[in-house]
Amino acid sequence: MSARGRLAVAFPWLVLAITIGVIVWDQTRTRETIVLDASPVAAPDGAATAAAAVAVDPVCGMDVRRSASYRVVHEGVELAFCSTYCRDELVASPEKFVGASAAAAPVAADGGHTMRGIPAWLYQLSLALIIVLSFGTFELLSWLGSRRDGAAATETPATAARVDLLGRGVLYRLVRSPLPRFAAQVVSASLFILVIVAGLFGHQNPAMNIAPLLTWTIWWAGLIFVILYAGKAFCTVCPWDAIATWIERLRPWGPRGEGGGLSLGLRWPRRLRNIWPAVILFVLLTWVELGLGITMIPRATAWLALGMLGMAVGSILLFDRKAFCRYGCLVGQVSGLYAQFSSIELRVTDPTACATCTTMDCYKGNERGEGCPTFEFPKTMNRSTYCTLCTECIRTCPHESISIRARPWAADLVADPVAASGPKAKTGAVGPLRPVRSVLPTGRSDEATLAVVLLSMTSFHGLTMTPSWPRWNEAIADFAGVAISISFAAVMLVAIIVPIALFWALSAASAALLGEVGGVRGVFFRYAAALLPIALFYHLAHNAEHLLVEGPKVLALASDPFGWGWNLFGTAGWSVPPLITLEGLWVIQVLFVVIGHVYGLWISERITRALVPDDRRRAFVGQLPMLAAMVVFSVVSLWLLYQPMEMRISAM
Amino acid sequence: MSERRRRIPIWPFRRIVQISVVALLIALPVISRYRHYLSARELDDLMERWDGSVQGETLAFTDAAVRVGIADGEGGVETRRPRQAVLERTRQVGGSAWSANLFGLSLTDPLAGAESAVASRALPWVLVVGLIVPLLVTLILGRVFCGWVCPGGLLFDIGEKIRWGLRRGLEIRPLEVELWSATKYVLLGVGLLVAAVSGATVLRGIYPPAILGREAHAFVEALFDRAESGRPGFAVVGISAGTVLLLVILAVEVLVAPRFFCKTICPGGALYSLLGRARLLRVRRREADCTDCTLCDNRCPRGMLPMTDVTGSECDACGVCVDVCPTQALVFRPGWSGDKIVGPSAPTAPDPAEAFPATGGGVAAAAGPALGTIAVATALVTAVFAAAPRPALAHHIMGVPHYSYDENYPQAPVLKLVDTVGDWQLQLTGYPGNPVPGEPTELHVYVVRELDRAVYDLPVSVTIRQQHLGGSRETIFGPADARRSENVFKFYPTYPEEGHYEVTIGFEDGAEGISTLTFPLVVGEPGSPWVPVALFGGGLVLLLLVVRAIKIKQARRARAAARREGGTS
Repeated sequence: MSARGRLAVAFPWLVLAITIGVIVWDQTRTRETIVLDASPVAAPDGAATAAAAVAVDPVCGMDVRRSASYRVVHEGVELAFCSTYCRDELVASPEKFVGASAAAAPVAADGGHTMRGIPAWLYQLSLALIIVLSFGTFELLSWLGSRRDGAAATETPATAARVDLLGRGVLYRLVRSPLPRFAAQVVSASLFILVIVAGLFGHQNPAMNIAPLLTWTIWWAGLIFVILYAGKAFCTVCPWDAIATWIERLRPWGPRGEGGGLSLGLRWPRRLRNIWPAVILFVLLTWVELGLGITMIPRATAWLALGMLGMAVGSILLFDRKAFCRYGCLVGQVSGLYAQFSSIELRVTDPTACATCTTMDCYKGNERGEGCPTFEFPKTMNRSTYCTLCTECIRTCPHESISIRARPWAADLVADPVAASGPKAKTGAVGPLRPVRSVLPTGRSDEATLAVVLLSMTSFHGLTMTPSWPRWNEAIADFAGVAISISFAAVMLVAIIVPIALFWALSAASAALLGEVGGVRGVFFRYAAALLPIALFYHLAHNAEHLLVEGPKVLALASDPFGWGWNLFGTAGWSVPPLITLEGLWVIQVLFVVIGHVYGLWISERITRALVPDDRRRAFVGQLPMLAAMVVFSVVSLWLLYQPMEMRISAM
Repeated sequence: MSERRRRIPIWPFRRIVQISVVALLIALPVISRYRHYLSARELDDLMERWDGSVQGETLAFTDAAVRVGIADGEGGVETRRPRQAVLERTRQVGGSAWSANLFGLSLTDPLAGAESAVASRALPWVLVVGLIVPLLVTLILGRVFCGWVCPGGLLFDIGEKIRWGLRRGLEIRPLEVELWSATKYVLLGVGLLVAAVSGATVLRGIYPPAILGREAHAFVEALFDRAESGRPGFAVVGISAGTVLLLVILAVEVLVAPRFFCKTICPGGALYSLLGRARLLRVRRREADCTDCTLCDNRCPRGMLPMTDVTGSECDACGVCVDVCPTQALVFRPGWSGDKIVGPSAPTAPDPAEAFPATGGGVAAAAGPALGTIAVATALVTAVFAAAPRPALAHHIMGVPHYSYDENYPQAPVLKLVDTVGDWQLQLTGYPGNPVPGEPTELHVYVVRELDRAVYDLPVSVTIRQQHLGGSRETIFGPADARRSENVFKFYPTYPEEGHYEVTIGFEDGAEGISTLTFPLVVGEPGSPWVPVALFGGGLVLLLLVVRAIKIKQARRARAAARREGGTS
């Protein structure tokens, strides 16, 4: 493997290390303490001056870790702040927050709490960065591309670099055994049942029930991080699929017995053999999540969980294999689309074994495991979209030719023929590269739409969390004279349609400029892949806030999951501060948006190069509308991060 | 002996007795409640108020039934209810399956007698009197209580039918685990030892007749308590861990170990078995008439083999073998000879279900008896100590006095919520604790600083929103300012309907803005969380059954087609 290949594989983990580094730096660096007034004032009844590890920011009311906060000594009391903003606000007019009413309760909105967005200077800086990068990277990539085209047609491209993670040792044996996956499924199914039980029977105050936090903040937000690094690993341990499979098979693992499972094994309807069902479910989920606010209703969260379980069980009982996982599951399809970017893949490692294989156990199944549940044929599979990483094919393959490998980000989106059929370096037979065009995905309308919908829905999610959103929503409802829920649905519809329309219009422009590329549809469906990293990384930036700021509260809720006054682990009374201060968070968010944007540019450039391999000028001009689209989407992402955010769970 | 008349079958009588016992178990608490209302002179009012609901109809039916044969009129007034005479009659019956008093006949379950005697280390006269009839019957017919009286026996007969249905209709072959049949003696011994040492009676926690008796009482009491607090109508209430335990046992009987409970676990059954060794009447075979058809062996619910004379003290005199014998070779006859005890190693008859192909997980059911015993004993003891003896939510715990039917009686608040915002502790109290939709209620807010208990004295406002099904919220009260009374802020909301509400309390802190705190509030019973669970579970089971039935039909059709093809070629 070339040095560039090694770097490409290591890059994702480098980003992870940097992110963790930012968190550690943020929590450990010493910040100067401003001393306003060191002499203690006789506080009413001796207000607590002891420095508790967790303090409350007197300005915004957030819990902060004292050691990692900005501090001001005022009237002899050390106050702690989430950011320099709150600190400066207090320093400017301390009497507003501290003084006669020193014990004044913090400002807490209706079960929530407002967090500042990125500061103006950072916003403007990142905007400038996005614009500069858009053109700079473009030029650089063009130049690099031309250099490589000319110089090294036989060199393995960096995107084809792979590192086998399982080897053929203990790890491989572990994956081939069904037990580890079963154990993980039991854990996830238990958590899933905990969510249902807590949601249905627990305290209905969302701050006192573990179901909403565990579902929406830990799982739904954390899921995207998992996809970035481990692909569809959630599908591997998916609780509703696990429970449905147990019900259908009546056995903990392995293929169906001799009598077969309970499933009727019907064929999935031909018209529904696409991911439109999942797209519709995703939009519906976003609607109930934001429009009905079920993230704040434990009961509704449990109903939703039961609904997912019901769909999974119903599908597995009626249809062949895991048709629901392939076509219906919104979580699976959102994961699947993003998984093309992920740094992990399950692929054939030895194509020569496949070439001579006549049994196709990976597709048909054998006594060691079942045939691919999502109808994939590993021999020809070159995208991770529909692979649930269930590892059944690793189990069934008699040639031990399937493994899990680390790879560079976005490997599926810029698939080269070499990448698709495994590293030739291993066998030493590096043939001449086929033209990239031949394996370039032609794009599918359902997947392209989901990509744009993902982008628009995630942004919309961010929009609904801005403090001004309720005002707008009410104003629109008043203006139109309809109920809030109806106006919400209408606004959401607009939020879906406008990005699609915008992207369609720009695709039309590109198509006109590029020439023979299959018209507007050809451009729209293909270039949607370039929007994926932008959607993914904005999603990550947005979720980082949920996960790092709200997520740690799960420690307290774990002791009292139902809000019944338990204290299982002695943590029920904990006031858990965020894992990161606002300023650290802003760095991570801007970093993510920029990374996503650069990947978008790169993918777009690769697509263009494959579409118009010969005419540089036409490629450059034709790509400009796409470039504009990406800049628009990234700028919207940044603007949303610039806005303050209403957090879901208050510090109650 | 030459001509045989058709014998009258035994089983209809047995079923009549079993069903009557169940009816009696439900009737006893109803009658007790009826007596309660009658002596409080509230019966007529309540019957009128609850007219048309389950409670009203039940009271009316009880009234009619109890008054049969008692002439109307009392104290010389024709139209007056014969109160004293009816009260006297209702006092004739009381108790449950554990211990009852029926028309002067005192009955105590031998297990109850043994356990309470050991626990209290005393044998009161009333206990001895109550034991006379049960002991006598046991000495005549052995475990006849199990076969004819115990409601658990009826329940597990139903389990056997479900098992049969699974096998026949759905071709699911449930497991057949056999446990060591002497487990019940171990449990009986352990239970009595616990009673002797600690004075705690634990066996009643796993004894089905006792559980069912308690649950019937709890159910009826809770149903009427609900009606008293303004919610007449049927609801599944008052059910405690006992019912869950019984359902779990039923599920295990159906899916894992048929008839395991009576045979191997029941401590009461153990006691009856011990006593029944000396029974007078036994099933006997007239060898001359027997045709060795094995029908009786296959049908015996206790797994005994009357055809080969392998019967024993497990026999509960159900009479199935006597009924089923085509030549009437089996009869109840006096006899003192010893029993052949059936152990787990005894040869079992071939199961007719073997004819069907096994499907699903065919895990071998070769659990070692000792291991099974330990597992079962551990599980049961854990279940009993963890859950079973928990008292049902009694009215006095809820603070609602049940002894007065005067609406103006000061009702203790149920709703009291405490939470903190910053340094302030808020306390929300509701009167009445169980608000009735459409009627004015009171909410009291009390705010105090946690640090120095300084009372908050700035304005407090309250907003109440109703949560609708989908999650949207509608403001139904406020934001309203309080009526101050001393340090308490009072509000007077009226809830439009049963449902989930959230009460948001806002208070100014002087420096900046308004701090709010939101409490959940439930008015009435706007749908139990069990409803989605029941809907989901029911739908799932239905789907499973339909899918399974279709699969079987397909398989049968395919087999038939294969046969036809085989015939033509």
